[in-house]
Amino acid sequence: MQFIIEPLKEKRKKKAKIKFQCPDECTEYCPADCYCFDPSCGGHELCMDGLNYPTPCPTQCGGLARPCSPDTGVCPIFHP
Amino acid sequence: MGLKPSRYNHFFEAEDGNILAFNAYTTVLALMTKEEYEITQNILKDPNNFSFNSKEELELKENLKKGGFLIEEDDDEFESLKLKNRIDRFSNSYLGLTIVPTLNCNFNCFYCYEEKKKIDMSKEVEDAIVKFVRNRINNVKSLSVSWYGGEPTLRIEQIERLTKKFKKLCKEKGCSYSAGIVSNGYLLDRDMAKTLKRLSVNSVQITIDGPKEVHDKRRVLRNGKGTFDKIIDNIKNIHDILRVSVRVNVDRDNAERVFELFDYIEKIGLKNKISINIGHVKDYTDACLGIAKNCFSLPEFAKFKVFFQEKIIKRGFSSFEYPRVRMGAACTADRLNTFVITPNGNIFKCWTEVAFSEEYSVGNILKEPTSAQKRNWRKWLLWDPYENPECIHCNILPICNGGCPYMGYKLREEGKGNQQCVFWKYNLEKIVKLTTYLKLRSKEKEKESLKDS
Repeated sequence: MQFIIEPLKEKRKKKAKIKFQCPDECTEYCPADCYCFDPSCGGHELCMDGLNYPTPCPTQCGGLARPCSPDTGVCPIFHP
Repeated sequence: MGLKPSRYNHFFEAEDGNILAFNAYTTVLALMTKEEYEITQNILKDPNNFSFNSKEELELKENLKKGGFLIEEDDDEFESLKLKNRIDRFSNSYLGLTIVPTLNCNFNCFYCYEEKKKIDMSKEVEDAIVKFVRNRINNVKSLSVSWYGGEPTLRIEQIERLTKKFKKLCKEKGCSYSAGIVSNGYLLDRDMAKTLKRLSVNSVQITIDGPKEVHDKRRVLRNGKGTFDKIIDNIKNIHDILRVSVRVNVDRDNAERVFELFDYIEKIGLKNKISINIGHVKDYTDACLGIAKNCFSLPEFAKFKVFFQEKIIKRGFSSFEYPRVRMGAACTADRLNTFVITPNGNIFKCWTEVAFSEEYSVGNILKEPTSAQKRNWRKWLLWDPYENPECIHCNILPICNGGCPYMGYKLREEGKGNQQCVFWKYNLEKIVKLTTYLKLRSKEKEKESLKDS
């Protein structure tokens, strides 16, 4: 069995390799490791590993990183 | 401790006969041989009585646990998800504002769901917003503002005044500030981009609906003239200042031609300097009812989305959406501390409602809420997919989170069902396969480059 998208704990171990660093208080990262979508974190960045989330984090839709939107963005899923 | 299978496991057969295992709670994706899959199925059927006879079987069990396919008997993924949803939705550590400085717009797009109203935000409302933030910022760790419209760049001075006040408040209270803007891009030249950057606006979403010929029929100025050339010029001039996310709104009319836009973007050197995603045109409100016949259904949109992603990624564009666990609020609508504020001071919970009458608002920044507004407030905050029987039993709930609350309520009111699902429901298998292809290809490229070096 070969992981294609790894479990979060494994990804965290590799966090040092990620160009964008989520603040320590963040507890969640996008599957591609590029930005966090924990509501307690105000930041996120475009994906650095080729699986690019085109927009901000989903939470911003609710706010955080979000527009999903993120930093404000606009959630690609929910906002027309 | 006993074990049990996750309720969010998915298995898909790949073209080469191997099996792709995806778990919607962890979003882990793994590739397994057919033999491993057969053993996996036997383990999942009865994990506590399965006889692990070999090192390979034990290793498989550990990997299944690691990936969340196999969990401890006392775990309850649904309850955990529900709890995280509650914590996030009702947290007050974050304050999110979507501010609409004007409902006026220099465009006249036929599918816009906003009624055309030329209303600008008054100084009185502007001051009341600052007071509103001041009253709520004490325990807030981050304030995030989305500038929306109408066309917000028509009111750049107001954005500037408000931002200065917000940043001052944030500095005093030690909370972070971030902002983004949704603009049609027509007025967003380099000078304005620099101004916005100075105002902590880091990202802009601009809509382009296809190649020039298509875009210029859909997204026109009020005088009917096309806008494509000006928007493209502006994007060329600002992409090094602001992060530009291009949204392509698709329906039956333009879907076939959106790829021509990519040819053009590549030709003018913007490939991978901007991000691109597609949006689903829907008949959200009465203002755009006439477009319903041209809108894709959700399954059609899901199919197009995966086709789109496959095509542009294989051409080297960096734009891909992999399922994420959406464990918090769905959006501004169901989150306690997020508000959409319109030029006349009305407070809504959903962006779609910005041009609606006060009847649909949850308050007004200048007045005490009426009982009808309080009722609307309760409606949004009591939106709850975790009480919806179809969502409770859905095996993609962690990545869907119940979908769009606005559409959910709309469908219920129209007697068209009980929930608004998201596209993963219809294209998960293809997305999982595409992700596998991309990841394996990227690993191969890495290996090749290591060899070369």
